[in-house]
Amino acid sequence: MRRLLIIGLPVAILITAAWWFLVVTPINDEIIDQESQLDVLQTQEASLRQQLSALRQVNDRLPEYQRAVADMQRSIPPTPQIDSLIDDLKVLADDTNVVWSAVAFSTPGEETPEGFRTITVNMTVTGQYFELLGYLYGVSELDRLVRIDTLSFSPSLTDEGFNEITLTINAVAFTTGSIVVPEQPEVEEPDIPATTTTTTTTIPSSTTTTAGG
Amino acid sequence: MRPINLLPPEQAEKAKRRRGALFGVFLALAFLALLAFFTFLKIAQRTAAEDAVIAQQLTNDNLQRDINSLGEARQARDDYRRGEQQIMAALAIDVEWGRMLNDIGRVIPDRVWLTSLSATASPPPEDEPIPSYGALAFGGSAFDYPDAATWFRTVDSVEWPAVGGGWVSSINTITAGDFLIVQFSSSASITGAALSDRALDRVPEIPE
Repeated sequence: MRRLLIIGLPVAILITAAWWFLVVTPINDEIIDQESQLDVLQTQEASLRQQLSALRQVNDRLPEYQRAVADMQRSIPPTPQIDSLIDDLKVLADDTNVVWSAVAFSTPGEETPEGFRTITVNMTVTGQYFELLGYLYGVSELDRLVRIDTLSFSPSLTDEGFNEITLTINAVAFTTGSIVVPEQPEVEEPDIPATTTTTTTTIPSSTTTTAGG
Repeated sequence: MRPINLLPPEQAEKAKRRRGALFGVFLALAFLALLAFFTFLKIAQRTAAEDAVIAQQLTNDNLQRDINSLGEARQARDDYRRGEQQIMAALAIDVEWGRMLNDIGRVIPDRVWLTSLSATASPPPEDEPIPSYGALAFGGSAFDYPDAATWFRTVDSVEWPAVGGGWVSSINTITAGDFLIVQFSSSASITGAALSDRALDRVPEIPE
């Protein structure tokens, strides 16, 4: 019995240690790994549920979102649309009875971090004080977003003795796109047959070329 | 009564060793069975954890599929947010010039008239305690010095909150026809009260 204890106990301890390190520890590591994966996936599930709920809410109001986006794109259009901007500013000048004497537009600048480009608009308009006031209010109410950064007034007297003001405006319009140069359509090369000239030369068997002479 | 063992002592010793060996074998088998039992438990635990991960992955995949099916809604929401940010950024320093000029007409004192005005809106410097959103420069005339002083007081008054920090750069007397009048040039800063709230109007609100 004593011999059994002396031999058996260390062997049992050795086997238990080997079992622990070679069998149990790797399984435990795998379990821990799986549990941490589960934690990550559960957090992901919460986030996905939140996203889904938010998207379902948006989906319920999809037409309203699309209308809002279209409205905002009228403020900052995806292309420069200088033609319609000129139309808008000119119609406004006519409506407010100011004389629109000069305008200059820059090309769209570099894209800002928010994703739009600025087009500087320098204008000179002339009119009476309250007409110019109407023009400034009108510019801020255009569908197209125009921000006035600098303005300067210089009054003068007309030949008829009226007080007239020349207003110089430096403004900025916005676009999310730049100038688009349409791609040139590929011109198909006409199917000209290759200049293959077939020359048949018949060399008389009796020809003899003599160098020198 | 005392037990009497009739076996020879060698036989008794042999039987005792056999019993000891059997007991040892039994103990070893019991020990191995115990280890096998705990190993089985651990493997079952690992399998359960793996199954839980697979089930969770499946749930997440289904949710992701549902989200992907709402691609149009996501696009609309992203476009809306982008548009909102763009308008907010574009109008961050948008001065309401119409109101500003209207205010000038409202607050300018009698016996004073402006001969020139230039204004520039600009983002406020970061380290300024009271942010200024640009500057105004006025040139004007008045009948007398007290009239000009009334204008300078107006620039800094609460009556006209869109402008502050007025300063006179020059003031002098000139002759206009048969009269002596005062000519001045002054400047002021544009305050936050001059900014428009166009950005809020431009972003269509969608009720929750």
